[in-house]
Order: sequence, then structure tokens, then C-alpha cells
Amino acid sequence: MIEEENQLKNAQRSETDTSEDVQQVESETMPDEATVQNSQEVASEFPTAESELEEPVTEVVAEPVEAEAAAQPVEAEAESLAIAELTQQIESLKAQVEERTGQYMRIAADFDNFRKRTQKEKEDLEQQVKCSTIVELLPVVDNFERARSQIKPQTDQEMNIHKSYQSVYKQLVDCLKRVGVAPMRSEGKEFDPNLHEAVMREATDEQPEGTVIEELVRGYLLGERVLRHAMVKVATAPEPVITSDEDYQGESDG
Amino acid sequence: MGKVIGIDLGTTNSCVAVLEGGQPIVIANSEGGRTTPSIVGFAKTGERLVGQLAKRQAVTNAENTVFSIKRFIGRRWDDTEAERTRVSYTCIRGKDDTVDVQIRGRTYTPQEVSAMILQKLKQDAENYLGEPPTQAVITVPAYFTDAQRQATKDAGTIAGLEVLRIINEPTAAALSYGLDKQDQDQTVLVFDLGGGTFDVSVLQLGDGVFEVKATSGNNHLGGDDFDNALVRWMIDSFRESEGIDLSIDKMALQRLREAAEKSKIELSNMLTTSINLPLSRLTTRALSIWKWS
Repeated sequence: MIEEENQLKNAQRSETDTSEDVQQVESETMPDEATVQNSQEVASEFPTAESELEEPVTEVVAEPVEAEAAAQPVEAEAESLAIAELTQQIESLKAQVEERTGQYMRIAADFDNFRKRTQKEKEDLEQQVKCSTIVELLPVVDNFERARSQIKPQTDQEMNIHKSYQSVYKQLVDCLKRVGVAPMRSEGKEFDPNLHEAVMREATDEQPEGTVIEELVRGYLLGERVLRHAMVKVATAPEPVITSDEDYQGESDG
Repeated sequence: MGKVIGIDLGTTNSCVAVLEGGQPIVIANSEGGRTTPSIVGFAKTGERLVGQLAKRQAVTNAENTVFSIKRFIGRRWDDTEAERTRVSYTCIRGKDDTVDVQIRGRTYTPQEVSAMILQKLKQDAENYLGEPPTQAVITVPAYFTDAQRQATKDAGTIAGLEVLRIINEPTAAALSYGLDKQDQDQTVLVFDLGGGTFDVSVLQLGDGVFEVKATSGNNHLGGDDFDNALVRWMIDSFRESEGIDLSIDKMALQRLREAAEKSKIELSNMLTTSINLPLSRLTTRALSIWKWS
């Protein structure tokens, strides 16, 4: 067994040796194969007995020559195949780039919109926070006003207290004014759902239909924005179409 | 490609949302509110008012202000007798036995009125998105019949929206909680207390598909009834303690109603709240509301 193996190896060795000669001639055209052969040489460990191996040598010499002849068209074919493959690759990459560019543009546009929108939202938010804060303070103003209309101070001392806290009320109103809060003057104007909230109506012939007769809860504006809608009583035509108790009650608490 | 908007077309309030980065975002309306009252008003000038605007003028223009149109959409005249007595506008029998609304000599089908609300929502969505939405998904109650669903779809078409899907409200609610992505079969109870209606549905979930197993509820029970109950309670206790009947004073009543709604909202995340009006001082205990819920 070992002998056989050795023989085989020897044969391989000689094969490479001889083919190397051939290769050396060819090496200029086929450098790749030469290197392959060289590495084979390095790999083989055993020294050789050349004598035994006349026959394989001839065989091996013949082979590469044949291969050489056949290799030329195969190579051309492979080359064109490779080119086709590469062009295909380029195409697909191009398509990918196009797709990505499109995606990028869309994302960039989206982001631009987003930025604009957040900017706007930020401004809106600022306004909103301001509005919602002030709206919470408005009932204080209302109650100061209610107090002013209800409380009738009898003595000097009472008058003193009344005046004192009414000056606090004035200060509050001044502060609000400085921030930009303005009360609506709705009475006598035409009812406008943008500004007013109708809570009652009253039949009257003194004023045209749809006129605000009374402002029950004062409305406020902050610049152009409505802070709070005025709750109003609205005039209807003298002969009420619907004679509901609503109208009579409206008169009773007017 | 435009974005698809999702619309909750409710009986008292409606809402529109859009998916942004996989998350639904509710679009605020032009008045800044997250919901829009489902109310359409027809002003003297022929102007059409929708939402908050319509609500604010309702008192002066009751007979030309249409609310709760969802109670009539896709339903037959004979089935809606009780509903018709509750509204202040004029209903007339349309062709095919539908319930139409007559305003200033013109008749409108419920689809047309609903379309006006949808148009307003669409406009608000456009203001937000920067481009007009063309496609929408609209929710309807689980108990809606085919006719009601079709009518809702038609309303969408009139409003210029391609309605991709009509979804059951309880299903939409379950979806919004991500219950379809939990990889397990389960039974879900959806409890939907709206402004004017109260629906309870049992859903069964399997393979990401919801099936409505049962649905029930009360068509005339909602948040507004809570407010009214609170107002009545305040009037009664004030009469007992002070001997003054507030119910004859319209202005006081209005303020009580507002205070009631406010305190109800406060009780959503507080145990107690107090109602403090210059004409009265009352303390509402959360228990009195939440005991039965």
C-alpha cells in the first residue's frame, strides 16, 4: 500500500516537473496556470524517481496544449458572459440608486414638511398655552365683576374693603390687557357664531332678528383669537314661531 | 399617493385621525378641538355651519340645526318614530321610505348631511396634511345594518372620499389597543360610552380577524345624561339647603350644566372634585358617580 502511494505521488511529482517545462514556455500567455503549477510543486513532499514515468509525461504534455486550444473560445464566451453579468449588475445597481434617490428625495421632502409643520405647531402651541392659561383666569375676572354688581357696601369700612379689592380687580384687568386680552363688545351687534354662543333667545321688536340683546357672560379675544366665546341672548322675531317657555323665562331673568 | 384618513363619524361628536410613523394621530379641527360636534347648521344667509360653529348657534336657530343625523342614516321612516320626536328639526318621508330633513324649503338626505360633516373633517385633515386626502376608512356601530353601512359609505362618496373600508367601532377600538398583534385567540369586551349612545360588544379574536359575537347597549345613554343627572342633583340639593329653585333661572342652569360637565371630566382622573359657583357651593363626591360603573 505504502509503495503504491509513493508511486502515485512520484508520478504526480514528475508530472508537475515536466508540465512545468511546458508551462514555462507558455507561462507568458497563461500566468495563472503557472502559479498553480508552482504551488503544486511546493506541495509535493517526496523526491522523485523520474525513470519510471516516461509515459505520463507525454500525456501531460499533450493535455495542456489541447486545453490551450479549447480555452481560447471558452474564455471569450466567459468574458462576454461576465460582461453581461456586470452590465446586469450595473443596471440593477442603477435602478437601486434611482430608487434610493427617490426615497431620499421623498424623505427629504417629508422632513421639510415635517419641519415646517412642527415650526407652525410650535407657534400654535405657544398661543394655545397662553390661551388656555388665560382662560383659566377669566372666571376670577367674572367673579370680581359679579361681586361689584352684587355687593352694596353700607358703612365706610365696608366701602374701604370693597374699594381695595376692586383695585386688585383693576390691576388684574390691566395685566390681562397688557398681555393682549381684549373684551368683546357684543351687545347690539349681529349674532356671529364665530364669536358668540347663543344660550337664550328673546322675542322682541325693538331690535332686528339675530341681534345680540345681552351679553350674559363676557367674551374675550387674544389678538385675533377667541379666548372665550361670549354667551349671549339673541333677539328673535316679535311673533315667536315656537312659543316655548324658553322665551318667557328669558324675559323673567333679563 | 395621499394618506388614508380614519374617521369616527359619531352621533354627537366626530373625529379624524391619520397614521404617522405607524401611530394614529388625531387631527385637531380649525378651532383646536380634537373632536368636532356632528352638527350642521343652516344660517339665514344660506351659509352652512358645521361643528362648533353650528353648536354655538343652535339655540337661536334650532329648527335649522341638524344634530344626531346618525340616528336616521340608512333607516326606514317607520322604524324611527321615537327618534323623530326627539329632534327639533323637521323630518319628512323621503323616497324609498328614508328619513329626510327639511331645512328652509330644501330637503336633505341623511347621507348629504353626514357628507357635510365628513367634508369638514376632510378639510381639517387637508389643513393638517397639506394635501387633500382622497381615501378614508369610516367606523360604524357593530349593530349597523347593511343599509346603514351602505348609506355611510355613500356619505363618504358625496364628500369626495373613496371609502376603502367600513369598520365596526368596537373592532377599531380593539385594533387601536394592538389586540390583533398578540398572537393568541382571545375574547374582548368593548365598552363604548359616547356622548349620546352607549354600546357594549363582545369580540372574538383569532388569526388577526375580529368577529363581533354580540352587541348591545342603550341608544339614549351617554355623557350628556351624566351631565344632566349632575345638574338635577345640584338643583335638588340647592333647593333643599337654600330654598331657591335654580331651574327657573336659565342662566344659572347654563352655568350649572357647564360646571357639571367640567366636574365630570375632572372625575376621570381624580377621586373628588368640588363645584364652586358664586351662586352655590357644592361638593360632588366621585363615589356617587363611580359607584355603579
